Amino acid sequence: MKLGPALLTSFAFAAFLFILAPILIVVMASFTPRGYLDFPPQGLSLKWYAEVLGSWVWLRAFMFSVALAFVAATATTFICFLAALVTTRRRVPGKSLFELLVQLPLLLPHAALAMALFSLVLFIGLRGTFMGLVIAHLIVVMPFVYSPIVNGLRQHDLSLEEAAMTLGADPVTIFRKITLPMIRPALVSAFLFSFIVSFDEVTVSVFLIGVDLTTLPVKILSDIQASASPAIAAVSTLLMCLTLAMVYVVNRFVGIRMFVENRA
Amino acid sequence: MKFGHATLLLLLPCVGLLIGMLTGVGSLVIQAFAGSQGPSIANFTEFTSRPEVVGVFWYTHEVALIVTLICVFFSYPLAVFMAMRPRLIYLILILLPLMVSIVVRTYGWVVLLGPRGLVNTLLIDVGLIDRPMRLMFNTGGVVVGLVHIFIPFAVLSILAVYVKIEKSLPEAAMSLGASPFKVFTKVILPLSLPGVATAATIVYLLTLGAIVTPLLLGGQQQTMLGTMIYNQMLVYYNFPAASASAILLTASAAIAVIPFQLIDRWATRKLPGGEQS
Repeated sequence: MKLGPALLTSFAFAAFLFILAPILIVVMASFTPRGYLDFPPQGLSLKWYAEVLGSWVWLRAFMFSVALAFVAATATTFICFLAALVTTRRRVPGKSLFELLVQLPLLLPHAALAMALFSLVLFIGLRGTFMGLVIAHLIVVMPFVYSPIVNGLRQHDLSLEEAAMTLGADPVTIFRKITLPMIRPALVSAFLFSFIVSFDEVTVSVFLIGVDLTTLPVKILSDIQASASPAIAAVSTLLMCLTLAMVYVVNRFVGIRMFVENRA
Repeated sequence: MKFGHATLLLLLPCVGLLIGMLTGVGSLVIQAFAGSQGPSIANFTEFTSRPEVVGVFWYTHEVALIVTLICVFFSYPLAVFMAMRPRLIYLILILLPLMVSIVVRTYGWVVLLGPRGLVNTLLIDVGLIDRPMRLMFNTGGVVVGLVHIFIPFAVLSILAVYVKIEKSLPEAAMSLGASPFKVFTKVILPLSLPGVATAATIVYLLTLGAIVTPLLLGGQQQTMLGTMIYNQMLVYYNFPAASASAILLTASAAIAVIPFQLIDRWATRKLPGGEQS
């Protein structure tokens, strides 16, 4: 029976290595001084970072992605918060249908969802515009935002609000002093998580970008197909650093374990 | 706070989004059934009449099945390991890749498996081969990339169910003299089966809808439904054909996950207290 756990542990470490390998490889490749990717790298160089950071095209794609993710995450968090306030506190006719539809973007195969959102954006005449991408991203991140907020609202104790009410507080004060502070961790994590999902999103965005309007992941995708420049590795590494920073913030605010609990 | 009828208005923005989404799905369906004269199923018969397109359809489901089996097979022991040693670092190792864009993770495999990638360079340096092997632009490359991207979802689904198994049950079986193998097959596995079914459903659906990974690791030879839709839409600008493909993709996905859902239901019913849920 001693062999079992040892076998399991070595398997687990092999699996972790498999999961991390491609990510570490990208980071390593970004420091190569050559014009193509080679292993092991002959020395270290930051020239690809210099190229990327000095390039207006990359910078513009980055800023566009940040703006898109910020608008989409803010709006979805607000919209879903309003909806969750209602669905967790009173009877809503057709609630189960409503919640099924909110989860639909996760249930549809991604390529089909991308086609549906493409049809929508084409229908309202916004293809190739910032607003078109925002609308599509709002729908893509909706399920990632709604569930954590609903969970947060369910955990919170309604009797505190009732106590405040019997003590004569008006609804606005109750909302500001009790509801909002208690739900804040759920809102922050919903915002950050949806920001990451929107920032990383590529399958839907690739259908909706405009002539001189592209998100960072879509730009990376088209550059991988067009060339093998290590600049892509440098951009990817920068992208990962940003994501890491955000995961760190999520962990500080609410703890990373909520991702597991939400799935249960 | 009182929640009267007026508060239903707060739902409006969210309902607006849902209506937008359904408008998109609706106009997709209309596109797919649009013919030169009124509604027709020409786009679908066009799909089924071309053997190479039907081949892509079955190939996609074949890849999805392979990726699902591999993901479940490998993520089960990993979930068991993580349940036995619940450390934050292991959880972070599983969650971090989920936060890294699919493009970047797939790019990692391009760097590893490409003709001048790490694997080929190492094998040539060691002297095992003298010219680069074809590691991507084939089914193997696509499967490896997809397994890598979707395995965290499978691990998390199985882990979520596994950690909830009552510890006393395997202990009771053991104290009654069951062998470790029997404890696993008769107690632990049936109890964790719903997690396995969820993992299989998620991975199967994600694989069917994938575009980026088959595009970068499969190339033009190994087309899947996702990449076919991508080509129909962004290379040939054939919106009706792409719409029909998207609808066939969704319909076949809905049918394909039925067995997993049946396993889930069957396993849940056998659990103590499962009847009520």
